[in-house]
Amino acid sequence: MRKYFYSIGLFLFLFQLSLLSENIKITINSIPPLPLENLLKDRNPGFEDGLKFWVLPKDIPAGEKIEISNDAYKGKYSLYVNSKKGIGVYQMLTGFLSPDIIVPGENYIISCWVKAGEEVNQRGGVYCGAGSSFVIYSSDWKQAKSTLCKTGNTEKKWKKIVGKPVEVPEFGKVYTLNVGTSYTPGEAWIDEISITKAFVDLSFTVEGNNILQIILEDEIGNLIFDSGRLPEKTDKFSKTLQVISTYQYKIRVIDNKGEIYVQEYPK
Amino acid sequence: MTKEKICLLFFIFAISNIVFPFQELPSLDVKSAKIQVVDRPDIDGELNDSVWKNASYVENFYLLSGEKLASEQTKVYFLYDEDNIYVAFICYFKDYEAKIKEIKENAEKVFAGDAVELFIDPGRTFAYTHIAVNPAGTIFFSGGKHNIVVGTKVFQDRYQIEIAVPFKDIKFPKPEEIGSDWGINFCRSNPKIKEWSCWSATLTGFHNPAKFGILKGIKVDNKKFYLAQKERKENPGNLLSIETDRTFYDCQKEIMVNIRVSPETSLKNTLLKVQIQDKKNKVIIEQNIRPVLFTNQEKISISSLPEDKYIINVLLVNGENIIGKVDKIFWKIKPMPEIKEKIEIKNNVLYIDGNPFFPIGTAGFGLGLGWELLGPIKDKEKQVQLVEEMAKDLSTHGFNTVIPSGDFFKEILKREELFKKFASYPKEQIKALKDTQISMDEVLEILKKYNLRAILYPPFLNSESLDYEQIEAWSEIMFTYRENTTIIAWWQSDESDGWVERNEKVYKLYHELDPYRPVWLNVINAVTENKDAGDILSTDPYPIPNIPITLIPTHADRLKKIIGKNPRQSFWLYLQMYGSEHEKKRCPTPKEERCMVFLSLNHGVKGLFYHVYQPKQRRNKGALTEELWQYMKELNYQTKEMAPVYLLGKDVEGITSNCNQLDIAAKEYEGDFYIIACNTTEKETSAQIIPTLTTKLVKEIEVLFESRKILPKNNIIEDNFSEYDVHIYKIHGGRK
Repeated sequence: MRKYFYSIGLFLFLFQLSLLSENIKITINSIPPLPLENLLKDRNPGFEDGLKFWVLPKDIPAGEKIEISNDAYKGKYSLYVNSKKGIGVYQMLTGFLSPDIIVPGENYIISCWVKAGEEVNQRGGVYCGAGSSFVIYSSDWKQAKSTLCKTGNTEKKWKKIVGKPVEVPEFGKVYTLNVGTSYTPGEAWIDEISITKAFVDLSFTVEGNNILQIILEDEIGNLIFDSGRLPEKTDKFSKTLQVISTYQYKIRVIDNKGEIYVQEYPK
Repeated sequence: MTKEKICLLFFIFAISNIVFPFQELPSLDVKSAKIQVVDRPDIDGELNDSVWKNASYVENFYLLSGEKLASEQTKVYFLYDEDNIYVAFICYFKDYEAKIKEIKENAEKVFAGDAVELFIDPGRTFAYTHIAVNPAGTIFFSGGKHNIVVGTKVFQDRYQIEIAVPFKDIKFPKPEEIGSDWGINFCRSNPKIKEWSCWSATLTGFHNPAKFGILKGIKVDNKKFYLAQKERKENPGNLLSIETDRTFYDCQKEIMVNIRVSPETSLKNTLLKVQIQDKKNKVIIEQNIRPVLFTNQEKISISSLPEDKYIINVLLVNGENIIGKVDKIFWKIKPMPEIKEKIEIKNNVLYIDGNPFFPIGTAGFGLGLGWELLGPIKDKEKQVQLVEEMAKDLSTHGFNTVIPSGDFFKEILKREELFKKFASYPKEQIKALKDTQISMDEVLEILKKYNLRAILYPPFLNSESLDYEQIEAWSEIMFTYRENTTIIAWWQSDESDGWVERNEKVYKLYHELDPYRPVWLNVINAVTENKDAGDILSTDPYPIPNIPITLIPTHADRLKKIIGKNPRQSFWLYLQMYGSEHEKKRCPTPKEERCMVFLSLNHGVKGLFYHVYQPKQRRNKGALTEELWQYMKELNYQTKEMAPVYLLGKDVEGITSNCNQLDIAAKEYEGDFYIIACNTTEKETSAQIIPTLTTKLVKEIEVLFESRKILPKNNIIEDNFSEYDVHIYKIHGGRK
């Protein structure tokens, strides 16, 4: 009887070993975990409550439009603008973004989804085009710092636009959020404006047999990390790096047989 | 019938007459021209494959105007299979020796000599594909990269061009828009005998799809090709993408290819084939990469390749199957001979042959024939005379650098259609190019005669995304002028602030073709973003009359802070020398202009350009006043006199004033001490200028360019400043 137990035990051991040899295990997490909460979540960032909180320009030139559209990236509504030189809505965030939410010295990042027509362009500068901007002022309005996420033509397809991280200065007391087009003609739809803390620490571990290469990409395919060709018989690889918080990430692993293993984060 | 319906009928009638005039279009029935894949002809220009015997064909080429038959005739045969269209042109000519010479001279330039052109419009939607091939086998393709194969052969009385065009390279409309008939035209451009002929006379130019002939009976899986193209367009490089270290290679021995592979499933048993093909798509080098990684780098030796255009083709293959494909064009070129003068930037200053050079320049150096700004001047002698007058005018007014108008680039006309795509005012610009008799070479000679240096602004790259056709057209102009010794720099772009990636790419391209001269980029504001896109960066603040003149030092300080950090880069300003009712600008007064100049210099600017020169016939028309123009002579003289002080002098800190509207700089140069004070407002003021405690002003002080001297009182300079006054104090022998 004992002989049979030994045989079954040996079989199970070898079976486990073979599973290990054929599988790659990828573990990814971040501090804080992704996705981060949109700090604008209570300020109607996706226009689902129409223009609640948003202020329209005083004079809308004849023939130009700024209105709620039911062509949305997410939810039911978005903001639609059509202008000759640029037009937009804004909201003041003073009081709402109390020092507990936006902390001077911390980095933040803005993003939005834009669908823009062919006339929309950024030739005149990164501040031109369709999208959103977040401007931080001192209480006397004499100092300012801004970040923006804008784009030119997206061939009328929804595209995620992500700004550059901005460190909130000590003088930051008044905040404005602007959405629309600037210094460009054309029509655009804008949706899902988001401000979050800019960075998280992302860690991943890959375990398995004969790992040949590991890469980390963001959701638009930018290469964030490339291990290069790893030494033969690599069976474990770990890395921690600071990444932008607004993207979804993808780890790709290839082993020496050419098998590919992919894991996304957050799922 | 309602009035609206009647109007609508009239409208449709009118439109149909524009698009489909009553004149009958020729048609070609190709029902029997479909062949099996196994019967494909060899594309060698011979036309001796038996399959051509059953091909559909057309003959009797008419002149473009349709008035009569061409004197040198052309016959065209047509076949197709499930993947390709095969077209064979037989082009007859009369003078063999002349034709051989013409072919040799224009081997690289498709549109410069005798060539055939093919226009294909699937479904007659007027969205057509244009292909041109010359007897040397050089191909033009309107869609950029392609897989077209050509074979050519020249005989005693004719040349033959055999072309295989893959359907996947032809622009297909949406399947629901495609009709059963296609538009097609076969054309021949024969410029030596001034004949432009075609099968279906297009009247206004070859690019008139309403006049293409009709191709009947073609049976192709339109949907398949449309969807394949849509997939390619929406997911460019989805599986494979490729980058090379350069686009133009001269003395480099190797090309570095980076290949990114983004598979969703296995790469088991795959390998990457990296091929170099010549422009006729013949593989001349092939290397394999195994195992395939996500990121792969391969060096390929190109030292044995002759100067030409090549394609790097990367294939991801599994056994016999091609899983993915990507390609990129590169050129092997002749290295540029080192230019006689050494042009370099040291400590942010431009040096020519070891001497500091302070450019005082302007654009607006053109005849404006597209708009007939100087009148309708057709005569070359008159044009030369006007260009000479302008050069003399600028030279005598102290300018040393000119940006000649693009209208002098006659080469553009060889690629007129391409140019129109990116031109701001295509109609006017083409008119100007056609009316201009004087070439850029001649203009550069004239500038040289008047001791003026040139900065050229070659055309074709004026768009955010660049294709190979644009790069090729631009490079031809660069090759033509890069050895001209009048040129001191290239102007890569104007106010393209938001095209950061493109600006950097264009900057790199310029240095691949000219490693010796600096490249200049002018932006509106985005200096930080574009700091790596030029050797020289500038901005163009135009404050008069509505913005405080302190806009000038604000711009200069920004440039100095960002660009000044790198001693190998320089920074210039474009100053206002114009007025415009539309822009609510007024031409500056001489005092305002002088103040802007010395504010720029006080804040470290290393070169000044003025927007914009107007020849005497156009002055006092609101843009540039005669008063300011005459003053520019004196102002440029002062600028030149002070340039060495500013470029080479040592900054002296700590000069203060009791008047905060003064902008003050102090310099020590060749043992003398200079204080330059600018009143930045229109308010008159008396001011005290106080040096640091360690600076003792003991002597009489000369006020430069004012023929006066003042004596310091208790080591303080006291002086009066009227509106925008600039006083330059020179203390001979320096401070004590």
